[in-house]
Amino acid sequence: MRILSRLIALALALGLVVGGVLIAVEIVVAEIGREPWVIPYDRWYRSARTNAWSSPSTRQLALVLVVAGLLLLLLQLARRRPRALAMETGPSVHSADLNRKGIEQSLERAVNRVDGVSSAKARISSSRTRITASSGRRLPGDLEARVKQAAEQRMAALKLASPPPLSVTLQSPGPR
Amino acid sequence: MSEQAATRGPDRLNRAVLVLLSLVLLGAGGYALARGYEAFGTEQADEEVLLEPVRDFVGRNENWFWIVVLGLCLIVAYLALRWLVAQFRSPRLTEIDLTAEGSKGSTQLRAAGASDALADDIENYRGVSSASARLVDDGERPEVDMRVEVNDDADVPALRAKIEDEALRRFCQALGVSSVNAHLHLRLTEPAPRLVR
Repeated sequence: MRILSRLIALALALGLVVGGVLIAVEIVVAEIGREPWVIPYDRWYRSARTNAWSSPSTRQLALVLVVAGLLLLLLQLARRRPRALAMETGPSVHSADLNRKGIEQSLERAVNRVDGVSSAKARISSSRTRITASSGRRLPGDLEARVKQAAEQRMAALKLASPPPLSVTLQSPGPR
Repeated sequence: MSEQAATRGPDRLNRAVLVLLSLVLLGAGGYALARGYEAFGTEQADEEVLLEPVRDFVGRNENWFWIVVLGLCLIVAYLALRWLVAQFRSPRLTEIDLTAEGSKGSTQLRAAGASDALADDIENYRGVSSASARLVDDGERPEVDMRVEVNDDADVPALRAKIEDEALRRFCQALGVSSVNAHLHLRLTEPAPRLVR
């Protein structure tokens, strides 16, 4: 989403620069009595004089503005997963953080080492860490607790400032 | 420059400007829709888009109105240009001034050389698979931004302490400063392959 936001920002900034300069040039061009250069403002003027607020074309344009504004706002307000998690400050005067993706992969490796786990997936959001582990065992016993313990130990070893609370889901075939 | 500004580039600025623009779009579109669907009465909905009072106002003040619009357009274009430049600007420092106070000459250190030396130093530590460093200009004093890939089986807090206590101290000595602001960005990677003899 950050990349999409940057692309939109790039396009809008470029559009505003070009648009701002063009309008300024058009004002000067009109002042010296010339025809519109690039922006067909004479056509827009006639359209604004002939169309009412209730005309379909005005409503459509308004709808486009609302939808664009809404999409842009939702894109900006959507909760993004953190790129990195801060480490404990401790006695250090410097800041340090750990890349989120790296922590997720580290948790997956730690959980995969637990006896009985066939695969694991970790996902960290700003509020929690979800571990989904799969096992081929029909009777997993205390496997879920061991998975949680392994993940907690790994997380604790990283000394994060505020590690998102862990939740574990174990997927197993279940008893026959 | 704050840590976030140094690492996230223009994301914060983009967010602020895009939220503002989205509110402008929503406001303008919402007003036009409401007016078009007779929220303010049938008479207002049936009025032409370019309202008579607006035309009258522009007509009465033609001598200054378009000059103001021209000025506003140039201000918007200038601000947008700064926004555009912010998408590409890097706060990376190219040179550090090491000239001593009262000295007649000047001493400049190539920033890339100093940061490369720091990265090489860090790369020699056990558990580090790769490292890079760059000096960033915060306007007041240089900051160093380090990116270190760490093997998953390494003791991360111990490695961090070692980088701060040893590598950064040597770096400060080389620059002839007592301390620098440092930001350490660590990334865990696959554990180092074990050698079996």
